[in-house]
Amino acid sequence: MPRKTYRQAINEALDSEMARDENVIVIGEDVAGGAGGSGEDDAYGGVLGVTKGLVGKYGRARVIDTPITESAIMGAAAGAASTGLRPVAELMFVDFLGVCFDQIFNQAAKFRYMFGGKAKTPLVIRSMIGAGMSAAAQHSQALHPIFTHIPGLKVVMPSNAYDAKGLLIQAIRDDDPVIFLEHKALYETQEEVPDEPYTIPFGEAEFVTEGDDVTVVAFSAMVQRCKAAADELDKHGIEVELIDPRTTSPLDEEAILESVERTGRLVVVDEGSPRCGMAADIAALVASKGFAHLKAPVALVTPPHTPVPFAPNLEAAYLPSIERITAAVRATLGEAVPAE
Amino acid sequence: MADLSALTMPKWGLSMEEGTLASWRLAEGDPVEKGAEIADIETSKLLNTLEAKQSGTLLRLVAVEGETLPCGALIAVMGEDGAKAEDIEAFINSFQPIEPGAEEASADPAGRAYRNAVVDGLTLRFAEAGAGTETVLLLHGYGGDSDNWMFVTEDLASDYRTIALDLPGHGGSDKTLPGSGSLEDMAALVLSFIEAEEIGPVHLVGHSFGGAVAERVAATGTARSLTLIAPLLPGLALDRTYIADFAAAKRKRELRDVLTRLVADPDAVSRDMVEDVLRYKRLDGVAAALERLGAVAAEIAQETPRPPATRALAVWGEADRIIPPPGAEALGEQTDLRIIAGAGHLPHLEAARELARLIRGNIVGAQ
Repeated sequence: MPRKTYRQAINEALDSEMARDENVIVIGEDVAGGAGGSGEDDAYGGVLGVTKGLVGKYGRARVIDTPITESAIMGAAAGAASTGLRPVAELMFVDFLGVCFDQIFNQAAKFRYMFGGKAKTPLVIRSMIGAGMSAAAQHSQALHPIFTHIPGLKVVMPSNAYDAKGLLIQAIRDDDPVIFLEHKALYETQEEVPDEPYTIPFGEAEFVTEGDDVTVVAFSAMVQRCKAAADELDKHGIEVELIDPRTTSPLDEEAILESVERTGRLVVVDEGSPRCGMAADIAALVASKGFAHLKAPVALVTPPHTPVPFAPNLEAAYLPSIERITAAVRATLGEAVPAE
Repeated sequence: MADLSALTMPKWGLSMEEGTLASWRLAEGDPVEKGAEIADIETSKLLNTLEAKQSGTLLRLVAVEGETLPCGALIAVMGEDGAKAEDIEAFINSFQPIEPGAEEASADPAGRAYRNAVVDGLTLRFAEAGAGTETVLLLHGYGGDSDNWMFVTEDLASDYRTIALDLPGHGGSDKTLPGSGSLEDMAALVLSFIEAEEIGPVHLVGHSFGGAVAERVAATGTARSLTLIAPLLPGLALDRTYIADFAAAKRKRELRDVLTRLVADPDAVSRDMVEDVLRYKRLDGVAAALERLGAVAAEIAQETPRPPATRALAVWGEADRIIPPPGAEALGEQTDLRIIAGAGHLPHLEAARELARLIRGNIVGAQ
């Protein structure tokens, strides 16, 4: 089977859905690029080339470049979705959420409820999250917990190329607003990805590794780090069950609780800030519904509660490292106190 | 330098890129007869046994048990007894693996390739291997694909041209079913395929639901021989809960439990096999195709018993829990029944060599 990057997988999902349904449109800053200039017509395909090639196939009426105005992109997309189009709107960096939040959380997320279930909002918002590229505090955040907090939004965080394609096709076919968060550090990662379209249902966790010693729950790029940690621990006879929930809303609570019931130990690894984040959320879930099975305190591995540092060495220290993850797993087994 | 030769990670079938050395059956220094079982290799499907292609002495085991290596990698050194240790070291150090599948199918040394054919408006993919005047056409079962035949075609391809078809709704073929998706529609499509590819008359081999299709194709009088492996023949007992559970399973653990029912040895189902089936089930159109074919299978099982219309060899795994082996009387006088001990519903994966021998016997007997 062909190996493809996370970027190619996302592009393929957009391409296959645009070919399948003429109501699917793409809208955002430089999603084609070159508009109004004398240069190449499809100059950018988004800031990281994810939508490259789509304008040539589907034209400027369906691949719409906008001015630098996130509120207009999200407002237009929410309106278009309510009239029956299926827009895939791009919020270049999730950090720009602040200027278009009303359109997302108080409009798109609420239409179905405010109109008595008679309105559908088949909107997908693609956005880039995450640190590790020295892009500093205003372009490096992982703001998924903010979306997860809003009822009416579905939140998707693919951790690999295979999942990215299947989850994005599912998102485009979904009749509710879906926030699709792509991690910057994953675009070049490769996996076997089928050429054919396929869907991965929301709320269905992936068991990346299976084991009976410790349950580790991680999201997005942290799944890759946890996989490396699990492989390392496996050499020392510690079997980690690594769960990638794939979506934070809906959340596959059953998979997490069922696993903890077997292992009795839980480590949650997330790149979001620690306060009111996914790590705290899942720790609370297990404390309230699976406490009787716990053999050790739940360990949380997150960045500190600070803005993302610009300096590469500080940024590296900010992100949960493989060493911190393995130490946390060992701590739940009573082996050693994790170095903080 | 003494006469040394490399034993490498085998490539069984087009989709195999790597294998895991599950266990060595022989130890360093053991004499090896051609055809001896050297090691068990875990693949993307089930465990299979590596046989010696030549006689000699197993001088050095390079791969350790549990190690996963790409196809073509050195796993052991063979040669004559008494070879010098430094010669063996030098051989290992200078070994250059042949890159498997570097240029995809065209570079495959065994001439294996996936090809597509458009038949009655449907794109059908098939895996081809080997060459010869006789062609063997293999039809997989419900939820399977041409890769299910990887071990069997590896054996048959040394003497025959083998074509393993992905039935519509499966593998790399279109997920739309021909006509209403009935058994007759599927058989008509296979006949059109044979005609379009100009491969007839063929030796037909069909497993389970594919066995039902093969039997209908052969009934038109176009097959040279017919081998049916645990075929879904009218009136035979079919565990219909398997079809329902296969269609419903969403999680790996759930699906593994379902797939385990197919085989005699519950540990034989590999993690990759579970993952591959799960990924297949997510493809557009598969759920609808499986629902229809599941209903067709249930109908066939409820029909009045009807033995194969032509002379056939029927092969069953003794421990088949999906379609348990029937008595010979249920298969009619024209059918020769063979039971393979230690196999379940997938003898082509569980007991490939024994099954390949039986298929060869049936082909030769028909000539």
